[in-house]
Amino acid sequence: MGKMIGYVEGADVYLIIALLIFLGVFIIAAIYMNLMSKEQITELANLPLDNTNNETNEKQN
Amino acid sequence: MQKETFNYDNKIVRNFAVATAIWGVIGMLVGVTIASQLFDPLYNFSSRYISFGRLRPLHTNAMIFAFVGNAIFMGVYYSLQRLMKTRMFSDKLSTIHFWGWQLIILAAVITLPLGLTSSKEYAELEWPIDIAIALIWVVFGWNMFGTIYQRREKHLYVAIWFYIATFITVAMLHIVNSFALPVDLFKSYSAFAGVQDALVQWWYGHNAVAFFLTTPFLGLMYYFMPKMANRPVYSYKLSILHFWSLIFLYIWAGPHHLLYSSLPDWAQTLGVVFSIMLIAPSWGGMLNGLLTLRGAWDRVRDDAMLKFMVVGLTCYGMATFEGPMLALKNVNAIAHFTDWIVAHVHVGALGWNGLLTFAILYYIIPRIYETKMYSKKAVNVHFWLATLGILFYAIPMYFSGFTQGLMWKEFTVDGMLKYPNFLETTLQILPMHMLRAFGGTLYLTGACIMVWNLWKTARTGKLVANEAAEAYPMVKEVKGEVQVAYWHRWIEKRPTQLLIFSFIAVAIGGVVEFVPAFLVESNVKTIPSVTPYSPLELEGRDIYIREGCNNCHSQQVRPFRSETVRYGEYSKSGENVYDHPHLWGSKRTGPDLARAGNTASKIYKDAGWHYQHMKDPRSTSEGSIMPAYPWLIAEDGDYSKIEGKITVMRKLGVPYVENYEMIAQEDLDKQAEKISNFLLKEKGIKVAKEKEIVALIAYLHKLGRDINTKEVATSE
Repeated sequence: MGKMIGYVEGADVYLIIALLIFLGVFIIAAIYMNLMSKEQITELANLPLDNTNNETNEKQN
Repeated sequence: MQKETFNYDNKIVRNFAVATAIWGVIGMLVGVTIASQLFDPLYNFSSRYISFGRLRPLHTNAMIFAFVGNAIFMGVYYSLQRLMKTRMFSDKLSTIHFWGWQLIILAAVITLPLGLTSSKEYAELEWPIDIAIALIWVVFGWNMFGTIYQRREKHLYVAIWFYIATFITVAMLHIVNSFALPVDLFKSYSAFAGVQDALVQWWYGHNAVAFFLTTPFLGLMYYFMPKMANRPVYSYKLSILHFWSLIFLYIWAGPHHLLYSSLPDWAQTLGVVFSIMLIAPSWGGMLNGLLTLRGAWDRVRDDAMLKFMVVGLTCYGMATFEGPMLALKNVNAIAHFTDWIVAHVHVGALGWNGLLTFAILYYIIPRIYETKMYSKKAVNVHFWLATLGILFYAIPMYFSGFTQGLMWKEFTVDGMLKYPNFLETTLQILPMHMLRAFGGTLYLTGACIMVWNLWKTARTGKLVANEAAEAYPMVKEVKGEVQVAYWHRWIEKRPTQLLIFSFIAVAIGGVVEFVPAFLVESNVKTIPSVTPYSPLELEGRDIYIREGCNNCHSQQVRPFRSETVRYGEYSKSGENVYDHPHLWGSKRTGPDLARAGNTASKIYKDAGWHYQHMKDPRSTSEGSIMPAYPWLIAEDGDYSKIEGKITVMRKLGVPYVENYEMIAQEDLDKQAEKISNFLLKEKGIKVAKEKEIVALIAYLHKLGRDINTKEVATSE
């Protein structure tokens, strides 16, 4: 990719910055995602199916 | 702690559902009409108000903002209340939002056929309506955030993240792209010019697709797919990665609409790179939706709603793979300006937006009316009509696109263009246009059956305007408690932070692309011989905009031998520095006109030819599908605002000399008289200098004229 970018006149700085920013966002999102517990994931994924009760609040009560 | 009882507001959901269905049918009807105009100009009915150039923006606006827009609000109002376990924040705001949006659509229905347009693709509405859109959008956001802040559910489900990103990004895109200086209530000029205007326009245009047609529907998919399949989304983790990657990447990809144009190369490449990267999050979302049906695929056979969802998601997958491919320069060289792009857009619009909207309507209406669908058979018939409609639409358009792209580029063994007459390439694809109109008719028929079925369903039940619900109240977190759990919950449970982070993610792309393009002078190289439009040319340009000529004619010669031989010198950014707005266009149903005024170009025609062509296109170009414009010949132009127009243009940076507006009318008359005399003496055509056709000819003869000199000294 770096080699290809090098051939584009004047584009290197913008492209490299853009790719670095994206990489940063992607890594943060991936870490964020992986830090979540299975229990929490299941709880969140089931939110649309929870028609009557908000179970989280019930548990906390 | 006791459960609290409350009501969901289903009336507002019903209202948006009705609006979705009605505007959908109207928008599709306009679509079938303009599809018919593209194989037989008879369907223009010699009326200025329904000629292709004026109806095409009405079709796109109706489908995007009326059909899809109302569908978004219907789905958001239904799902947000249930996900947040609360009623909408304010019934008054809901009502203002609903009626405000419908009035905006009504304003579009009135103004666009009248020719009141800014010409900016997917943002054609004039400035007072733009302001109304911004205000009503804020009302929507206010109501949405009010609902989120009064919620009983702590967690913000991923669907709501998409709603929040949609709200903030659409607001940003709309406001920036609408920067304009008004001449009067019905006329304004874009604040940006030429290449900069094109960059802003396609940053908006591309991201209108991203944040109006994609992200809200992904949010709706993440809510309704699990509801319909009765199982949680396949991977919630993937949905998080999908969300952040998608909103970050999408915003950068706009310049892929301007490949091989005079936009600086670095910006074009940036658009290509980010477009390719977009495949990953787009397919992540599609797979996450489809895999939600794991273990339940047998239900798809019996449940028409799921059929709509599956085919809709598949269309999304196809369109989001094809999009990045079209952003590759070598593919784009063939596909751009052709029907291929029309096919691509409609796979997304008819497949992804249309089919998901239908599924959601079929899901919501029986539930809020506490009844069952009136006819499941009719739902199935609708599904097959819609699917066949998409196939009959898309396949001929792909065929037509390949044909156009290849015919435009074909050379004989002697090195001459094989099809030097552009019309030959148009006549070749007319059968494909007929099949496309048939496909559209099938799709429209299906939608009509749906409206009938939903109407009958509603009649068998009774609207539960206030649906009873109960939930535990939300326990306030003690300050600092959140850090003990997961640091990332800081965003997830806090709508304001989510809004800010989403805004940062989407703003970065725009800033990196705009700042150099606007501030680095070398990005827009000036050409000393290029002069501002004369008053008559400016009026002619406004007529060109009013009639929507840019919907069929581009003004951007790409640096290909096939184009420079056909049209003349390729376009440079310095040629368009006084173009508020730019008129590069995105489609060539007719030939490019960037060199229409350059006598060295093969595309150049004299005033007499233009007069005859506008009066009766088939008299000069046999078989042409261009509509006739007799009113340009019959009617006098209203040039009473020329003084104001010149003043506004000067304010925007066009270098008219001081007080030029005072003599603009005089100059206008002189130039008009010259053209009128030429037509009489050289062509024997008697036409008064006041007629609109004279101004249009003046404008067409300005296009590319300024570079028609060997001694052009450029700063390049």
